[in-house]
Amino acid sequence: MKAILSLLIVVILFLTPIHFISATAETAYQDYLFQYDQYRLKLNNFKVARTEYLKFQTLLAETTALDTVKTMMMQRNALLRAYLLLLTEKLNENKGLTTNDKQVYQTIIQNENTFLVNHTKLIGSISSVSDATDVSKQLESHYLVLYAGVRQTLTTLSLGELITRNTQYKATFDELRTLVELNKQTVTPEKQSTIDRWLLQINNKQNLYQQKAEQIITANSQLKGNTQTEMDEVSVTIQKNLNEAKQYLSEGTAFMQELVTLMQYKE
Amino acid sequence: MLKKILYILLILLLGGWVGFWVNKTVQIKPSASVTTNPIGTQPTPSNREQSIIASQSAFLNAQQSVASLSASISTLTITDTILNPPAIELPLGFDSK
Repeated sequence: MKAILSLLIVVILFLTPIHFISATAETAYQDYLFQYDQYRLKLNNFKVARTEYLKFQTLLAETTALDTVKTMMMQRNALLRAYLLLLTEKLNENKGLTTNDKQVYQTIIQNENTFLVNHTKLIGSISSVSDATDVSKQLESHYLVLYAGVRQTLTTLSLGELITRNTQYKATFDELRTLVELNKQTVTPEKQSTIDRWLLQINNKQNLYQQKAEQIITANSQLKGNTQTEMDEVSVTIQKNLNEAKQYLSEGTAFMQELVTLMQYKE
Repeated sequence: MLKKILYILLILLLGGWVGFWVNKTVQIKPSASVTTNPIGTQPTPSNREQSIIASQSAFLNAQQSVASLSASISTLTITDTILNPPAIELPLGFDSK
């Protein structure tokens, strides 16, 4: 009986999809979606209560407004914390980033998380509408710092994906170069000259990618802005550069395909 | 008993034979169709002679690596839209009192 039970457990373990075990980013995303729904719900409740309070100014309306604003503020922080956790998990899972790169942004996220934990504690002690406004203003004045950290992390995540492809690009390029080197005797000097020229162009695309990646890293580390809109504008420029960097790798890969075809046939 | 078994075997054989002939006569012959080459696509260079390199395992590996890299780049999405920051409302709006 025991043997059958053990066998069953082993079979179940083997049949469990691997993403159920290591899907930390997916779990964080699901939690984030849940917190977002809760936030929308609580924000709605608060807006109704606020309208009533501003319109009628009764004690009952004030009490309801106070209760709902506290719940909404708590949920707003919970949503932000869930989002930061999602970013942390995405950083952990990113294969292109070095441990140091990850640590830099994880520290930024951790600091923002600590701010939100402390801020949530303050919400508990709110006893009036003006208290609520004061406590909320603490988050409002800090939000740009948090937003900059988030934008920087998002760019770093995209860059990490590109770095993975760039590593693959370099490895494939080396493979092709070695292949060419080993078969120099088998091709005509004219063909060899074409191959060498094409290899150079493939390498140039990688250099252009590298330059673009460095530009992105510099712009990302200096990301500033007086408003969210300003920061979004800078992020759009960074985004454009990320797409251009991808384009260089894409063009270089198309050249590699041409080179493979050139080597495949005699003429 | 033996007779019974023989009868059953005979019925089965006859049934199989009838089924075979029915199937053969009913079968629809595929109609002849005209195949056309899509406009704008280049024909495979099957008449071109392959080089010595083409049969090497190192070449085949490199060819595979290039195909894999190409697929990896073309499926890459730079912006993961699910990671867009949440839209939150910051000022509480009690000031409009």
